[in-house]
Amino acid sequence: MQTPTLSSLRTRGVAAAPKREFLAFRLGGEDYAIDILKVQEIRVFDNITRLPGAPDYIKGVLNLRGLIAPVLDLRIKFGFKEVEYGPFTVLIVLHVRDRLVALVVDAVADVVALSEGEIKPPPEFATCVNIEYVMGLGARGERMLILLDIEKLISSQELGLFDAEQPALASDPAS
Amino acid sequence: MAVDLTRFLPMFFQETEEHLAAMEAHLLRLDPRAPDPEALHSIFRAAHSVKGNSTIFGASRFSEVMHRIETILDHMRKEELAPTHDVVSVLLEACDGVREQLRLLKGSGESRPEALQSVYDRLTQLTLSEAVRDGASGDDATAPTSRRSERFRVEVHLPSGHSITALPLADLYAELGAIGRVEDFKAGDGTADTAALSLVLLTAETQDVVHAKLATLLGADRVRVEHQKTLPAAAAPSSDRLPPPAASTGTTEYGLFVGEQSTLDSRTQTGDLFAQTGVFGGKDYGRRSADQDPGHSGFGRRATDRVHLDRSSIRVDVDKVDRLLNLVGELVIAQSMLAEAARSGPASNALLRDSVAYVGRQTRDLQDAVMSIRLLPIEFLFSRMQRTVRDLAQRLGKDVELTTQGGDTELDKEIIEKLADPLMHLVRNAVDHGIEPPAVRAAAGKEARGTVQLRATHRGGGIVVEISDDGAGFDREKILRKAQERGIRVHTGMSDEDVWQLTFAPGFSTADQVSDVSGRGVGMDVVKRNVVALGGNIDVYSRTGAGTTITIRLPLTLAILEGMTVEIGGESFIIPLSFISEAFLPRAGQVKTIASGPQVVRVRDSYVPLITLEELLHIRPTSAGAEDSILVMVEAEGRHAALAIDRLLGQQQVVIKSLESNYRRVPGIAGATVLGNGRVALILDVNALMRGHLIPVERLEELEAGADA
Repeated sequence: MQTPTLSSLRTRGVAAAPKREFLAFRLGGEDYAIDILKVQEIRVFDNITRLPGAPDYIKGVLNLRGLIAPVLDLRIKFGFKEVEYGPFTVLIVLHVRDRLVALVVDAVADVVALSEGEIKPPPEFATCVNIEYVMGLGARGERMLILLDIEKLISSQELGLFDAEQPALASDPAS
Repeated sequence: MAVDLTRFLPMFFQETEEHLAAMEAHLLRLDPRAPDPEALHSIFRAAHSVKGNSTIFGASRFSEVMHRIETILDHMRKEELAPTHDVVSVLLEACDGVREQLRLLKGSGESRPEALQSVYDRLTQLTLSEAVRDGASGDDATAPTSRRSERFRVEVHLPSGHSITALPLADLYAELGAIGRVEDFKAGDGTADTAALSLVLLTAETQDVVHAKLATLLGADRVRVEHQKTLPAAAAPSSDRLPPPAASTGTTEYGLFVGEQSTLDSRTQTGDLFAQTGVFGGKDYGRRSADQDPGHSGFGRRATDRVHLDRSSIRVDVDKVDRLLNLVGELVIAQSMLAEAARSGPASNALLRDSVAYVGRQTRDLQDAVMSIRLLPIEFLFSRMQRTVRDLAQRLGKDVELTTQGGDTELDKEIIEKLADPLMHLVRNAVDHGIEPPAVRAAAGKEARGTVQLRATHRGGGIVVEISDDGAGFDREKILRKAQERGIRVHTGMSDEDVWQLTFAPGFSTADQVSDVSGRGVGMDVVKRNVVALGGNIDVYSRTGAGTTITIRLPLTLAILEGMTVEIGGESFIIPLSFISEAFLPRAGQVKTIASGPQVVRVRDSYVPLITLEELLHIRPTSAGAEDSILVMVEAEGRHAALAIDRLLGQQQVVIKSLESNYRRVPGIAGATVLGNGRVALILDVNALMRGHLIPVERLEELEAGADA
């Protein structure tokens, strides 16, 4: 059944097991990675318009070739102590559930290919990220990669990026 | 090989709706004395298309109804039947019936096709009565000869003491002979409990028709017509049901999308059918375009009212158009950046500058062209009003004619859709409250037939739609009285214009709209709100006794907004120009703080609330206080307020973008746009900002009283 996909062909060294590619980036001192298929582009951190009344982790909105996308700073959401905007600060533009969302990150590191076997289950111990949004752990050299389930995170009620869906509210268990 | 027909259902719905609309538009224009053969032809074609498509989708009820309409149209074309008021009414009703079923299907996937039965019967009646008179049966498979006859028991009752000899028996026999065949004729014994006459009639007519015909002869209360139940199968009333569809797919079920063979689930069968006809409705289209005047098929051509109904077009997803619009918007920005670079570059490069200017012109033309894709002629709306006026006038016993002008004026599709309700309301108002009954009009020396006019014109980059009637006009006294009842401050010396404006006050005269005859204003505030929401405004002019004109000004499109760019706290915001009345620098002492905290500004003789965006939007202005800011006076929903801003940056047209497509609704923000420098600027929702900023009337009165003293 394993017809090679375009992404698996692109990975360096053809492995026996199919590999998934992740975009690794740095948030604060930690390394994170997300499914590269969700990434549309990477841009400089610039030209962001503040959004009134938005939570602090929404930095504002951005013009993406005529479409308006919110800019999300996960460092603030995750409660990192130091949040800096430097020359390496970039935006990862994600395409998730038919929407565009830009993610502020300290730096983009690399594209990492991982086979299913290389992905370890999420740890029991607490990280900055709610464990719900971690789909596993990987390794890049010596460093640990936290693999984020970015789709789940972006569409979570907690972030409030989407207008609350009516049915979800209506079906509150009354019993 | 089965084709999944469900994929084509949206297309079927849309096409059928369009055909129905076209039929309706043509029907309403038919002149009963001399119907335009071309119009008849168009209706026929539309009905034929609906029939064909419905058959493909197994909606056999639709096909049957359309088949009947075709038959009637055929009679009209042969001049065997005149499109009288009544005939057209039945045809319109049939269109409505099918449309209603279509709506049900679209919504829930279920319909109640039996609801079409009564209109179907009436259509049948029309074809029958005509054919019987002419003795023509034609090639029509469902023509009268093939319709199964049934037996009715007809009884004529007379008050005791009356003899049947008093009845016009000769006429009765003649009438009965014309309708069908008389069997089992019996004269009564003259007592009151038995019928004076009783007979069994074998006829192709329906019960109602038989009754109606005899009633005109004998009197309605004397005639009783019932299905003959005592006779066996041959006369069973089952012929009351629809006959098998003419363009049958071999099914014996009449329900829409139900039944073993016409169901969409048995796709092989319908799929084959689909394959035979080539593309969806293909056979009809070939014919349609062949019939079409090739001169009118070009896009963007100004067409006369009638022609655009037949104008050729392609159907494009609105999302695609919006995407195109987006890209062009980006191109405009890219072009202005290029122009900036060319200007600031080496002065010697004239060729570059010329080229950039050329690209700029082309870009703007491109933008206009793309914008125009979203535009539709307002005739779509006007033709719907014809129907409203006709039905309402009939119901109210008034004689009203609706004339339209400028139907080819084009407007954004979205505006047209959102204008439908307010316009409908105003037209209904005009017929209901404006136009007087014929007798009253005659007494006032007016023509018995009232006129409601709809007019659309281009004016200054926007569209003006006028609804005028030659009716009674507003009743000044009544409006004043009602305003007073509602607690609105009025005085008798108010100018007429101010009095008419009262009808837009929120809640004005909604309570007793049923008993309200002369004072209009039923839901006018809602109308106004809708128009304002479209970025337009509404005005009323009335002369008691002479009529009323309501003027609606609208932007050409919702995609573009005329806005004032302002700076607040280092960010750019757009205030829609339609809300702005003026901007000024406040003098010392002009801004006051009232006890509980809110600030007010004294403007001329009144106080208006001051809105600082700092508290509402959490944006801190750079100016130290309101007195250092620039104040922009805004007006919405009849209320005024002042917005404190740091700087006016200029007036420009902006392309409106949605925040919701990638984020969510933001309170106080109506949308966003992209400025020439590529940055996003937010568009303020003035209505919402003001709603959150009301100052109780009594507080203002206090202040004003204080100021006067």
